[in-house]
Amino acid sequence: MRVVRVSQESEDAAYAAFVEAAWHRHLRTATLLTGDRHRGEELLQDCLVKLYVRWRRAATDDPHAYLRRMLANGNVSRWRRWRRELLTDEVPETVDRRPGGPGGPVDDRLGGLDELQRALLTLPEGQRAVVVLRHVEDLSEKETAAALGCSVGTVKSQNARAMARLRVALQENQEATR
Amino acid sequence: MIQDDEQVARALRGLATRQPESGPVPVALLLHRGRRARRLRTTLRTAAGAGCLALALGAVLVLRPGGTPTLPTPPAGPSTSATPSATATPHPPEGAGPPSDETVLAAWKLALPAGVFSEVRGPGPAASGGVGLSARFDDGTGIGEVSVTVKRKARQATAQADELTCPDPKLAPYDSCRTSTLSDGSVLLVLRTPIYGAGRAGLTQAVVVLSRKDGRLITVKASNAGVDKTQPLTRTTPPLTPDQLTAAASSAVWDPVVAALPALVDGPPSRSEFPGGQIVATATSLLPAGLTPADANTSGYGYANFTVTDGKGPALVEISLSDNRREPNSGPQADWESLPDGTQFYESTMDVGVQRWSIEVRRPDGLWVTVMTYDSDRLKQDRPNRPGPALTTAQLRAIALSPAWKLPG
Repeated sequence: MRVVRVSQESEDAAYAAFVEAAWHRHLRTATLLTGDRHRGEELLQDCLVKLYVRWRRAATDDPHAYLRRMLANGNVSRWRRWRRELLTDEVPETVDRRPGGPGGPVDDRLGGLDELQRALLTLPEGQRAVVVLRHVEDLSEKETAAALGCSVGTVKSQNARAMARLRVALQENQEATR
Repeated sequence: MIQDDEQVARALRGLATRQPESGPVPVALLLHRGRRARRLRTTLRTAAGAGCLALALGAVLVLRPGGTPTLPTPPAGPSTSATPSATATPHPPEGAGPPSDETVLAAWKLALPAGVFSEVRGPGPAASGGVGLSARFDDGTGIGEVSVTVKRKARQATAQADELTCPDPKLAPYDSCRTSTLSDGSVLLVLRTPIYGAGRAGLTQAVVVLSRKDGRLITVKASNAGVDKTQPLTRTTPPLTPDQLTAAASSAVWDPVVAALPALVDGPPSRSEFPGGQIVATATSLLPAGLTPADANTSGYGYANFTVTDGKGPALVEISLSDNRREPNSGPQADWESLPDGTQFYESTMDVGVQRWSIEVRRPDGLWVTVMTYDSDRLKQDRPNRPGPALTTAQLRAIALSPAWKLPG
C-alpha cells in the first residue's frame, strides 16, 4: 500500500519550485494562446492559483500537463463565454470584461506584429489551442486531444485548417520581407 | 507532416522564442493568492454545509411505516486488495496512538461488500484529527473511487453541524440531500450530486455521513470515476449504493478504530468575527438603491452570500471578510492597485462555469475584504441566467472599499 503524507510547508516549497521552473515556459504558451503578454500572464496566474488549490492531486501526476490543460481550456472557455468561439475573418477585439466596462476594444494588439502572429490571433480559440499545443508545446495528436478534451479526429481537422491559414500568412510574411 | 507544415511549425516555435523575457516570477503573489483561494474554498464548503465535493447517490433510508429511519443491515464483505496489506480485523492496542493506515484499510475492507481495492492513498485534509483513506474500488462491474474518514468527537455532532447539513444549493446544487435523526439518536446525511467542474457529464458522487452518540463521525463517499478529469468515466453509477455506504458507515468494524482515536473537542468558534448576518446587514446598506439582498446564507462567520436582482434575473453575491492583523505585511503586490492610504486591491474576472467578477481588498489595518458577483444566481452552472453581473465595477469597488467594514473589537 502506498500512502502519501505531505506537510503544508513541503507542499508550498514544491509548488514554489514548480512555479519558478514552469513560469517562463508556460508564459510563452499562455501569451500565444491569449494573443498578448498581459492577458497571457493573467491567464497563467489564474491557472496557477487553481493549480495551488489542487496541488496535492496535480503533484502526484504531471503538473506541467495539468497546467497546460488548464491554460488551453481556460482560454477556450473564457472566449466561449463571450460567444467568440466561432471566429470570423476579422481579428477578435480585446474586450473589457469588467462590470460596467464598455465592452469594446481597449487596446490594439496588432501593432508591430508580423503576418504569422496576426494570423495566429485570427484563428478560432480552439484551433489556436491545437496548433500551440501541437507545434509549440510539441504534444502528439493524442496528447493534444487529451489536453483539450476532444477527439484525435477533431485535433487533426482543426490542425489542418489552422495550418492552412498559417501557411498563407507565412508566405505573405516572407514575400513582404523580400 | 508535410514540408510546408514543418516550416509553419518552425515559425511558430520561433514566434514563441522571440517573445521578450518576462520579469521576475511572482511566486510570493501566487502562493498568497493560492492560499487565499484555498481558504475561500474551505469557507465556501463550510458555509455550504456537508461539503461541496462530497456528494451522494440517492437517499435510500430504510423507513419504517410511521417510525423513524433505521440503518440498513451490515454488508456482506470482506473486500480484497490489489496491493499487499493487512487483512485481520483491526484491534489497535490501547494507548498505541491513532490507528495505522493498514488498520483503517483492514476495517474498510470488512465494512464494504466484496471488491478489489487499488491505488490506496493517505488522508487528505478532510481527515484532520481523524483517519481516512481513499482508493479505487472495483465491485466486479467497473472501477470507481471510494473514500472514508473516521473521526471521534468529544460530543456527538448534531443535525445542525456543518458536516450533517445539506449544502447551500446556490453554491453546490445537488440532486438530493436529506438529513435524518435515526431511532437510536444517530444522525445521518445522505447526499447525491454531480461532481462539478470535472469536465465530464455523468460524473456522480454519493456521500453518507453518520454521527453517533458515542461521538464517531464517519464519512464514506463513492463516485463513478476518479476526480481527476483526465481519467475517463469508468462506470455509469458509483460502485456503492447509498444503502451500502450507509451500512459501511454503521458497521461495527469501526468500533476499535474509533476507540483508538483521540476525542476531538471543538474549539470555541470565532464568533466574534464577522457573523454572516452582520455581513449581510452591512452589505445591505452599501448596495445601490433598488437592490435588496434575498435568499441570504448567513450561517457562516466571515462569509455570507445572497442574491440581488435588477430586473434581469437574480445574481449571486458573495462576501468574505478576514482579520489578517497577525499576518506579516508582504508589501506591495504586483498587479495590485494601491490607494494613498495604503489600501491595496486586486480586481479579476474568472470563468468558473459562469462568469465571476471579484475584488480583493487588503487594508493597512489588517482587514481583508473580498466581494464577488456572478452572472448567475448559483454556481456550478454551464451558462449564466442573466446577461451580466448586477453590480458594476464601480459598485463592486465601492462596496469592498467601504469603511463600513470594520475589524472586531
